[in-house]
Amino acid sequence: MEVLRVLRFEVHDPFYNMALDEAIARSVGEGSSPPTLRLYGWAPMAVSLGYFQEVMEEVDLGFCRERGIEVVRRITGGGAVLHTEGELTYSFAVNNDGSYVPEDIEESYRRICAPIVACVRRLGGDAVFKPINDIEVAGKKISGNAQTRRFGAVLQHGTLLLSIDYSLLGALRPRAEKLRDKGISEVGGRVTTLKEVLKFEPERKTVAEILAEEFGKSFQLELSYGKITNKERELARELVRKYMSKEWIFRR
Amino acid sequence: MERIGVKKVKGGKLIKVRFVEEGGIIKEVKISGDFFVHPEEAIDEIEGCLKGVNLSRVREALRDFAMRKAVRTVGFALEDIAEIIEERSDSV
Repeated sequence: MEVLRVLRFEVHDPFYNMALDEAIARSVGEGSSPPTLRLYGWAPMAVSLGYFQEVMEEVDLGFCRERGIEVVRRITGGGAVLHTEGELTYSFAVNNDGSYVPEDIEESYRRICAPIVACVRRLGGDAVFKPINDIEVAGKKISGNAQTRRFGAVLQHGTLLLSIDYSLLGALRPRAEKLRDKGISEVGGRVTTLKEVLKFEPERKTVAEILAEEFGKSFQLELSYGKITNKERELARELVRKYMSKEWIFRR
Repeated sequence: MERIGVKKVKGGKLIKVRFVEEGGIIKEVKISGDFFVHPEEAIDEIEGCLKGVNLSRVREALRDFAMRKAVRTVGFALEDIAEIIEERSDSV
């Protein structure tokens, strides 16, 4: 069976997190690294913006400064996400040769989200995939996901919420148009967490291990806990500069 | 003058178009939102294909672009951009 390299749960700063996801995608795309699942957390906390979003529209910069929340722009599209210590983040990178995920992007979200849905279900939550790129429990979002196809790779990264301090959601500026469409009046009303669903908060490391197992099962790959290569580490260090630059963060 | 139009695509994403129009011609345009475009850099070309275009020919310009370039959009369609610009151009 082909191997899925799993990079054990680690907590890193926002800029390194985004740089490492890109470095891994590049290595996987050029064939120098195998399919890879990386599990991680964020410290300090951060708002990650989608590639096409405007900083000023999405983020309350004053609030972020006060609470020590960084702002980082992703290489992927999608919406703004607040990353706190109550979140497990994953990134999944495979070659974009059509052998791992469907060519159709919307179909491939369903495909890559399948093990995340399975993970939440195994923990006891009634999770369902919600197109285009969300996973919900009882109509509330528990996981958001974003994908890019570059460097010969498919990279999807996303979140699984274990718990949240709702007072921190002030970092995100709510969008009236979006809320109206969903018929809900505030940001906090749209999300849920494993803690709320399961009535207890599992350990992030435990959830990370279950998630890895489900990815292995779902893609019929043999889990191989490993490390990043020297090349990936060096590339990530270089890419950190891009992710920290004002030009990148404020490009829209 | 600068105009801003926003659309929440049904079952899709939020898309915002900010454009500067002078004498019925688009001078500047910036498209933002929580949508997806593959490849991502194509957003610059989408914006580029609208620069210098008459407000009455936005749809055509986007259609020409789609024929020239293999771009995939997720959560919106190029026509949504045209719709937003046309709606905000009513008073022109």
